[in-house]
Amino acid sequence: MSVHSRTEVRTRYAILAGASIVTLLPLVVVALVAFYKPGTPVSGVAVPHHPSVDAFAHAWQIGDFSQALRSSGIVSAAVVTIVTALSILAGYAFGTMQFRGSKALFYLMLVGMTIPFNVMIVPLYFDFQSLHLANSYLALILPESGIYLAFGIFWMRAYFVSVPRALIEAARIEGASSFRILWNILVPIGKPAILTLMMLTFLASWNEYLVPLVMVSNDNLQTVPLRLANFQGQYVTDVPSLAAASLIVAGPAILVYIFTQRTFFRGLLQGALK
Amino acid sequence: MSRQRVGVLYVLPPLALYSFIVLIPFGDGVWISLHNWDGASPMQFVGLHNFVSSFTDPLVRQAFFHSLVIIAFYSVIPVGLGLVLASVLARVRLRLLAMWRAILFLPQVISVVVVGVAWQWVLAQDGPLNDFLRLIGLGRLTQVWLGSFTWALPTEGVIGTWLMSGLCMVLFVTGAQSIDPELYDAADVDGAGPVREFFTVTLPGLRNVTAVASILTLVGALNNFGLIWVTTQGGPGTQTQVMSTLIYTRAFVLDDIGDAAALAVLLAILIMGMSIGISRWAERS
Repeated sequence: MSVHSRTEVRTRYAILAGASIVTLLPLVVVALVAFYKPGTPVSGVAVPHHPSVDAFAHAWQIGDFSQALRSSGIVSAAVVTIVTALSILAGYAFGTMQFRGSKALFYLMLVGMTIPFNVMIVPLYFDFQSLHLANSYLALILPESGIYLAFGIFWMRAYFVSVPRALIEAARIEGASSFRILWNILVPIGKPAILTLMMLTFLASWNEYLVPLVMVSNDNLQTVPLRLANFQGQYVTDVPSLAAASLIVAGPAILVYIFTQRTFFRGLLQGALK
Repeated sequence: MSRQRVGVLYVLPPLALYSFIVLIPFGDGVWISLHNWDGASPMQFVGLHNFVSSFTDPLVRQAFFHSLVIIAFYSVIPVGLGLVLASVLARVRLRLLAMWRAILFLPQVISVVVVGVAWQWVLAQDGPLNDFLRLIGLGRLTQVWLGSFTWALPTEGVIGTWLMSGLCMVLFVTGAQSIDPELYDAADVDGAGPVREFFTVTLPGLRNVTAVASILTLVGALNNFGLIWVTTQGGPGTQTQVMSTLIYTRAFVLDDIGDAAALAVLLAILIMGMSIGISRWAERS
């Protein structure tokens, strides 16, 4: 075991600190601007002397962010529920059962992770138009769920494969049905993997931009990223309000992230590095 | 009920959604790519013409070249930085690991629209970056970075490096922490220096992580639509036009849907090819 000198240790932490500062700086600079009064001309790294939350109120009102947050909440909640439920079902089947064509089917779904959404979005747009489903929550919920599903199945299968076979066999000998085994045994012990999947799906859906951009033209269905993009087009010179609007959009995702990051990283790194 | 049937029952609902949203539209996309279509009048079958003309179209070539530049910034540099950091931090028990990775991962949590708005302000005429340049006496370098014909594309690239580096660092540093310290001790006994240690212990130990990080950042680079659309819409001129923005422009701005579909299919082939190549490399050991 080699002994590390003090300078070596310091260099390491200096590198980490430097990387963290570079990561945070652009975000902090913008966050500071949000506490100026709306419409104030700002330049450079500006720290408000008399911090005010007027820009938040202003952006909230003229951007109608209460509506956009409601849309985003409805869509994200539905997408997380659908993706989690269906991924558990398929992951359970692919991870613990053998049936004809199961391998081929699994690979077919795996391919979905690499298909760029660009390929599907054009046909989907016309499909939803002709089904008269364009401009509805379903036009956001179904495409997003379908796209994230491939990853979800891949993720949950990896968990189910890692479960000891003996556990499942023992429950089966006791006469438990396959659904009881899933619901009463495997789902409870798979909580970390499931929570991480829910978190990743929530972030993807909350931040999704292309799907709402293409699928809805009705203002009442716009989700927060789309609303912010439109807001930016209209109020490009009102930097404090724009900064405040950005914080309104990023806030919920950052809060969820902060409160769940321990479980999130445990699951994420186990899954990604397996 | 036989266990065969049970498995199928579990897979059926996910498969139905997946078919409706991914498989069938993918097939439709391929079908549309063989036609001339403006979205309203009847489709006109033209065979592989859209693909053939893509290869000679200067706008497509330009967008393809821009996408390669974007890959360098989104994927190659972040993966490189992650590897360097991992080699510096290997075999050290880091204090506050949870805090470092929570901060470094933060850009991944934020909508690309917010990222775009934030960087547009940082890079604006009166923004913090130009301010800083004036402060250190480099005032002649100041400009509207995203509006410059020369600098817009590299600037988009740097934003991508910012976006992806933290993700790579988190993956690599955590991966490096799980390399068996005895391997380093053995290398020390053999008299290996830090460079040889990197190539004989760190790099092989991080093969899987490298594959995961490369695929994630590559797909991110080639699918990155939102960030460029929000900041420059492919401009000025076509200086930041990449494959994904070109596809969107042709499909939804120019109503040239057959061409857009052909480009999307080409992009799909490119992404799948690269992903398969990287996984093959990772499995070969």
